Amino acid sequence: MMLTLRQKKKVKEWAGFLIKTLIGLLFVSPLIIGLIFSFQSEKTLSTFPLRVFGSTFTMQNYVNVFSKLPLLGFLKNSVIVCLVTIFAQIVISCLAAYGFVFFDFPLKKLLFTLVVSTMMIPGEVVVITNYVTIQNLNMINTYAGLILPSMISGTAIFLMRQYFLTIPRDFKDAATIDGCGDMAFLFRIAVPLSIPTIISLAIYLFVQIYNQFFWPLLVTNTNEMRTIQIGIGMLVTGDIINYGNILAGAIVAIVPSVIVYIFGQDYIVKGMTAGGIKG
Amino acid sequence: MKRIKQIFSLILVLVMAVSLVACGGSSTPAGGNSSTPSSTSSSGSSGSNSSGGSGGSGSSGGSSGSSEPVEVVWWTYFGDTNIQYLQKIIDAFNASQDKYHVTIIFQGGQAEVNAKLQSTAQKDLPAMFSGAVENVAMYDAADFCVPLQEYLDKDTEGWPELEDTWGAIRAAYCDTEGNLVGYPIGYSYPGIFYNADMLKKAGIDPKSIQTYEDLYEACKKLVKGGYTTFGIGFHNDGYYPTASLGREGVKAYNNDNGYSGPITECLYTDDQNVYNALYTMVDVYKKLHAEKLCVPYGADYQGEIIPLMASGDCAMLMGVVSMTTKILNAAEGKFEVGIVPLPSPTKNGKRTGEPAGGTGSFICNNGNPEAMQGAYEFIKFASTGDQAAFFAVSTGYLAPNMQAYNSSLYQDYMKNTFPAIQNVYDSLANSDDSANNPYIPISNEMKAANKLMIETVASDTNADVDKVIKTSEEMIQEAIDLYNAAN
Repeated sequence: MMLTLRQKKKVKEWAGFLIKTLIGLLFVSPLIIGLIFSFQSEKTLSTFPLRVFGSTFTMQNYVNVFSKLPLLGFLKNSVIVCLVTIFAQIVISCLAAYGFVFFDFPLKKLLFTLVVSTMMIPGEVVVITNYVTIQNLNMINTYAGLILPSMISGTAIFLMRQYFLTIPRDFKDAATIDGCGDMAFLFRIAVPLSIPTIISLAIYLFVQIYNQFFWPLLVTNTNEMRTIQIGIGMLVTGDIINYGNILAGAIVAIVPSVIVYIFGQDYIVKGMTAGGIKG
Repeated sequence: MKRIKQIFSLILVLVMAVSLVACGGSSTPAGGNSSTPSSTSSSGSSGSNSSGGSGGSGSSGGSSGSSEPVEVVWWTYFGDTNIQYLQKIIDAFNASQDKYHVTIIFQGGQAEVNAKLQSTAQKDLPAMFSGAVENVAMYDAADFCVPLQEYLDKDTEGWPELEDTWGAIRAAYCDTEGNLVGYPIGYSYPGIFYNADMLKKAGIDPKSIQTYEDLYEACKKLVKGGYTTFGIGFHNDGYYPTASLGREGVKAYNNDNGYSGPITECLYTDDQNVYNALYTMVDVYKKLHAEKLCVPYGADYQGEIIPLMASGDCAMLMGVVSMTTKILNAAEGKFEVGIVPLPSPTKNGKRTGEPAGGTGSFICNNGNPEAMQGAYEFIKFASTGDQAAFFAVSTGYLAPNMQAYNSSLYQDYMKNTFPAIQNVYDSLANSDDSANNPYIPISNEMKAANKLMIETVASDTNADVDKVIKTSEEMIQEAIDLYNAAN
């Protein structure tokens, strides 16, 4: 039987969809398996071989993690740290990028090189110096201590600068003729045009900051200030580990990341490619 | 597709919202400061009050003239399960008096706790911390630790539990002059857990496994006889070779393992007895792996070896007693679990002691004398018979002293839950304190070098055992030299 061109196209579309779905499922399978195991009892999880579809279904692991740990408090702290840090990074990087693109000043290239070179310094290298600084500022165990070292990053400045470079200079000239100052141009024209880039930056930062473990562990000393990743760490440490509880905690912890990603996934690609035209 | 995404997102948001609403009332930090109301009635504080300030000593120390109890913050690496048990001891202590209020706070793994202790300003330090027994030398040398002996010397009430502490574990918590640095809260002891039913069927007397060669023969019999797939699985930690050398009764470092002078040399190849013991042990690891008689080294004991034991695919596990609860739970209703002490590498082994394992409590120098005194009082309280027995029964750790061992709670546990643990106590009773951990603060490097030794022969069946031991020795020697050069 000969297929019509339309039918061929349909078959191709479906085949492509099927392959993509299978690949997607393959990538996401650890999460799916983790989700299923989080509803199994510890006894079932201690059997060999493990069965994905075990005979038991229990919510006990979720009850355990919520009753044993102040997970909601940890989540609240994570969200506060993420929101403030992302806001600060976006504002600061927009201002810095604007200066690098639309202002002319001595040593501009050198300064930008310095900013970019900070991207090559691994975070671990500056942990101790940052810690000592935060300690001397009496910011241990405060939101300020959690947030301050992450408020500025070379990556964010670089990303925003790359996008601002794609904004035609004519826009700026026209705005200037119309009496628009630099701040007005930045916030009324440049930033609205950069929304996809800003959102992609925000998502990138969210994932990065939300998953931080060592820094929040270092600068916080009480459970009231702890973030979600440390909460999960509490479930993992020790000679007796309850895998069901760990998985339940991990599933709760990834929900915000998944929500953010679902809402912003289109912007990630747009944002990453938006600044890649002009260097 | 867009609609599916929106629906999926909505579901996730709803799940979050339901979780927040349903569990909103359970936000009391259990891991950190969830003192029960009854326990804090005397102190007038609830669980939520206790960790204000910095979480270290902060300004919550109070004073003797104040009606507020002195806050005693305890930094630990115990996970949520053990913290829950410790919280009950803390609650009992807080309720027993109104001068101190103890708060336990998780601070990451062992290495992270040590890093925080070393880098935190004195005013932000806690009054007490958990530390591994093999790091006693490090704590003794550190500014942040105050040896318990200082408080013991001033203690007019006495500490009977200390006098009745097992000699081996007490010695492990002392410095080279016998001064007490810390006290065990979880006394661990290495040994071999076994499926008693399977070994009986195979005609193997577990007590006959006295040497590594005996262990090899037992595994061979179990696997070749078709009783199981793997004879044994190993907890992949570099502590076991050191413990095994202790069982052998040899000292792998000069100056009597650091007790008669500073350690300057690793004797893995220089001392013939040490070398023979190591060679025999490493060679057995190699044979077991080459002949596929054991679970491949590196397998996780909780996620892989214990489930394999539970399913009858592995007969034994070389581990520590703190794994007991997990093993008993997995084996429940399937087979009887037994335990025998670690074998010595050769038949010449003394088998009269071994370096202690586990976790102790130490006083931290946070500049608040009252809080530090409170830490001492709590450490004493936690060592009393009922409290120490409760933690031992809940976790599987050994009872550190005779009061805990003789308590009705612990005797019930030995009788009804894990009778085989008596084998470990029999071994302890025959132990002397000659097999201490080497007294030098490089236990992490030692463990890493030892682990690499086993990993190498486990993954490469053609590996030259002699070369493997030499490499390990070089790594340890480098760490010793570095430490001595820096101190």
